[in-house]
Amino acid sequence: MSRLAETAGAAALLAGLVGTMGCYGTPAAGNPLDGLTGDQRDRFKQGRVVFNQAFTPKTGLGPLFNGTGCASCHKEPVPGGDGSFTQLNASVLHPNGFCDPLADRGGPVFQLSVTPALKAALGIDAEPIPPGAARGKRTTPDIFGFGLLDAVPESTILAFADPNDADRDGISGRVNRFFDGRVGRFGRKALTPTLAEFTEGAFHFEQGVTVPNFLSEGTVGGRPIPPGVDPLPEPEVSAELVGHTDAYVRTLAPAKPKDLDGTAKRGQQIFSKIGCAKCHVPNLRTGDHPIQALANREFPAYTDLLLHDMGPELADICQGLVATPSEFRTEPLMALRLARRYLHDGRASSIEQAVQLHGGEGARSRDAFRALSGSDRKALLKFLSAL
Amino acid sequence: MQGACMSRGVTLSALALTLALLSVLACGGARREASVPGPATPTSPTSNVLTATCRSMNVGAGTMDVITGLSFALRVITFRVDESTEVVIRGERAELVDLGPGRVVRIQYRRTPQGNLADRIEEVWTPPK
Repeated sequence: MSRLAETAGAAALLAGLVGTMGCYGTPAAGNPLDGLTGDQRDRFKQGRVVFNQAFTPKTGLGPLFNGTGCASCHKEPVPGGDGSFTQLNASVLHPNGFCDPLADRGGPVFQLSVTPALKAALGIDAEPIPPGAARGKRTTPDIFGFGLLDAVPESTILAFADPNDADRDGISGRVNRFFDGRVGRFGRKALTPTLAEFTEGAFHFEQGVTVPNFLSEGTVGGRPIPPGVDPLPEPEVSAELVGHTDAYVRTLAPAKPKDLDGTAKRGQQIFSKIGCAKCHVPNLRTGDHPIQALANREFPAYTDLLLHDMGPELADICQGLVATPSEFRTEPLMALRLARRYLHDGRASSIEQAVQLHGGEGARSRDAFRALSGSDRKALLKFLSAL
Repeated sequence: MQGACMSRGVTLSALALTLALLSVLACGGARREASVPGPATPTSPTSNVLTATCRSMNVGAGTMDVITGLSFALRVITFRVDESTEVVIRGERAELVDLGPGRVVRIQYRRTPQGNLADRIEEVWTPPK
């Protein structure tokens, strides 16, 4: 094991221990779901080791990458949380409506780091983005409770959709679709259909580590990888380790909301009254699931997993088969109180600022927020800060 | 309260760091196993069916590029299309030129020495207007 990996492992263990002890006020963050079997808990622990592992060029890192391991980005306040890294996406929206993810040029995620061997071969510090492409920044999300989001039946998401605003409430949710036509739900524009793909794919597009379901190392901005730069055979991580990581991410518990006092409960009512809950649907219910702890469980998700037009001020890139530059998936508000940056690109530094920056379909609720009395506004923010 | 927490945190941090270092030393074997990539496995036999998104068609060259992948890890695959290729849109025979970028197609294909040859291309999803 490299020194880097050992250091990262120690740091992650340290963060895990300190976080578990409660200094961050996060009793559940980073822990497994309640109700797992012994075997499932073992798999959670095995997956946590892989999640906290740091790759090196000798173990598959790169040649293009954003982070050396999952926990190099998802680390605050404990592994599985958010972090300060900002990912760079790019795409091109053609006049006929086709959204080109620049897959032949290394897109849509353009990695911001390269291995020493690639730098020596090409003299670059990051993957080049084609000129003229639209760019979008993406903050690192926390992934607490993502297994529950994955277990929500697709029929639930489709039932929320109202693409033509048939009920005339000013809210028209649309589903995004992946390149094979399946309904997406993960990612800021709901590109990825399943958590398994989200997790396995991240090895590749974040760490440059090839996986059993994506054996190609890819290109560097459309150019072949120079010979000798990444000689490791594919896949660079085994199906077993990908499976452990999936088990860990899938059974990572949602951060438990704080108990609501009277003011926060009033804020909860205001949240619904001014229309926030039309998109940030408070509770979702999972369907049948082989992991009993994920099956038929209602949980506070605060999302409909649909795309909504958020207006021109927030617009950046198109993504997938449906999402236009101004459409974003309703962000789940699970663990909102642990966040330090808000909105898809982190442009908001507080929850209030994030609310104020809502446009498009969110404008009506934003205006209602602005019209609230000071005490009502404070109550709403207290509620949100408890999630 | 915060000070107490921080003080406790420093003490616990020292303890945790010691534990972490001990665990690295004691569990080096197990952790090394987790950090080493698994053995390379032979490429799986290629399926002869792929559902993907049309990226572009070159009718003159008789090729079609499609987008496929895993989450945000994407790639473009080129298929050859010849006079024997059956193109189907909404259940009816069509031409390659009738397809367009952004449409999802189900491709039945064969691997040949000249590349992937599409036997049948069926449109299965069209983008909303």
